[in-house]
Amino acid sequence: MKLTVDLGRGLVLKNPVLLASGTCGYGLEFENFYPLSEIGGICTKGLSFESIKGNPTPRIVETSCGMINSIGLQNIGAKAFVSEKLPELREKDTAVIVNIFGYSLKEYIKVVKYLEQFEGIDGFEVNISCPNVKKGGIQFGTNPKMTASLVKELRKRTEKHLMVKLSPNVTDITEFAKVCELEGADSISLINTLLGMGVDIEKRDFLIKRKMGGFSGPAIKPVALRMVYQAVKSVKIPVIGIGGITNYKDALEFLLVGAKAVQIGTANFFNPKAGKEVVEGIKSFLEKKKINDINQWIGSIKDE
Amino acid sequence: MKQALLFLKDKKTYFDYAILTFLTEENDFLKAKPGNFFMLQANTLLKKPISVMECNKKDKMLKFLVKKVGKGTEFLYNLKPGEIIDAVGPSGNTFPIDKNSEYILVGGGSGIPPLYFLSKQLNKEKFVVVYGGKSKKDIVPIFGKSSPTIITTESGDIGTKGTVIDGIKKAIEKKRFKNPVILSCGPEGMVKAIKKYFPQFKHYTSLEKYMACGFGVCLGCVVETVDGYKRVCVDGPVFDIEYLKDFL
Repeated sequence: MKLTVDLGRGLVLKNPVLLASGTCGYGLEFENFYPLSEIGGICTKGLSFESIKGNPTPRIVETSCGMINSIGLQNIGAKAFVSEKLPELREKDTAVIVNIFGYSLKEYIKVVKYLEQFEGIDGFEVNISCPNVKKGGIQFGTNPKMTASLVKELRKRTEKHLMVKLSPNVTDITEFAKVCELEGADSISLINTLLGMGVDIEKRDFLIKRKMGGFSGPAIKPVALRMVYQAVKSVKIPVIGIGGITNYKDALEFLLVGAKAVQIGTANFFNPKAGKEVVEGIKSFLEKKKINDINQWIGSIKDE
Repeated sequence: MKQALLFLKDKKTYFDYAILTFLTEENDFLKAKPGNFFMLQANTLLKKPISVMECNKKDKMLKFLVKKVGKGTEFLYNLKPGEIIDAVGPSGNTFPIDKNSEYILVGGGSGIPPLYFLSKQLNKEKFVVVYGGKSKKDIVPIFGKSSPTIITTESGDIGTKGTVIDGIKKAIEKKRFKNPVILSCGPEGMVKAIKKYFPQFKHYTSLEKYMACGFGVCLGCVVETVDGYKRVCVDGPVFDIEYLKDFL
């Protein structure tokens, strides 16, 4: 049974299952539940060059089949990541994709330049789609010209795999997918959270301090699947599917429409074993279907 | 910390509260300490953080006290013996205890479980429990007669009429404690009042916060401290009150 997928520029995953940024900390927390070697890789919590304090509380609320978060990219900063987390993380037999973020083009460049020198980082995932900060982030993900210049500048500065994480809060996702491909991204991952909101009729107040936040969970899966399919149709670089994946069946759906790998997000919170279970589920499904290479399943939907 | 199953062996209800007694085969679950909690699977997407009330290694038993406050806790309240739920834990820190100090354990309503758990591990001469609520409906009869307990209710239908502040005064008088340490768990208003009336005493409080994961990765449950945001789930839930900005 071959489960390996090649995302390009040397980033080969042992299986197509990654843990999504912001839902798996710096990865090590999950060793309580299963060895990280069971999964294809992890995408770290978004790192900026300097540490970020994050947003005021309340930051999260549960909705029907989903949740809204407004964490605000709280993170320990790139230097602390390298000294405190990377030495242990790089020993794990799994791909380490570092999610990076900046409030400005300069800051994005600074964090990539700094992290570029370290071994054990298998690739970057560029967050241009966080809805929870005032400046930066989503501006780079909702204006195609800004997306283009950011990808172009980062491409010049890294030899590592460059994955760009796209926002669903746009009219035409294919426009952004194409821009990333054109400017040299090795892959794109989508979707990040949808901009959402919740209110309390008893307290006549917002449920999240910053009013709006990122909506995620099983509720967003149909939107994610549609956008991943559209992106797959519009570019040749690998597309990594994210959005409401809870079990192996969800993962197989994304792979079927052409995603080369998937990321598990919100499910990590309520079922920390989800990553391992999805890998096992995919494997036994393919065995049952007598498919001996995952790449034969990827994009195999009847589509005329 | 592990993810494993809990088997409901027994349930007792008291007004809006249910005492749930589970059995487990997961040895790590049985390492729970006072202050620790588990994320319990309900009929909601996210698991719910519920504090441990009792843990017994020999009987492989874990006990929780749940109050019906929303959809998830109502599901847990309505569980039937024989049913099995998924759980993650134990999570969190514990109360700092030294053998020579004297303690007043102050629990408000559904805040009592960690203090009940702790009381079983302390020398009876060295502590008093103050258990407060609005009425007798909030005072679950869990403490035996031999346990030094002062009950206060605002309605006065059980125990002393008043709040936990009156209970703490009574406890100090009765026990002749000179410099007790307060360990509290309950509504924010109650904890603030304790701080205001007894600023001279060392005070640790166990916080309750909404959280998505319960093991340190979602960053949803943070609380502002003098050292910046800290996660209630793994850096707490027990904090020195002097450390918490909300209580300064």
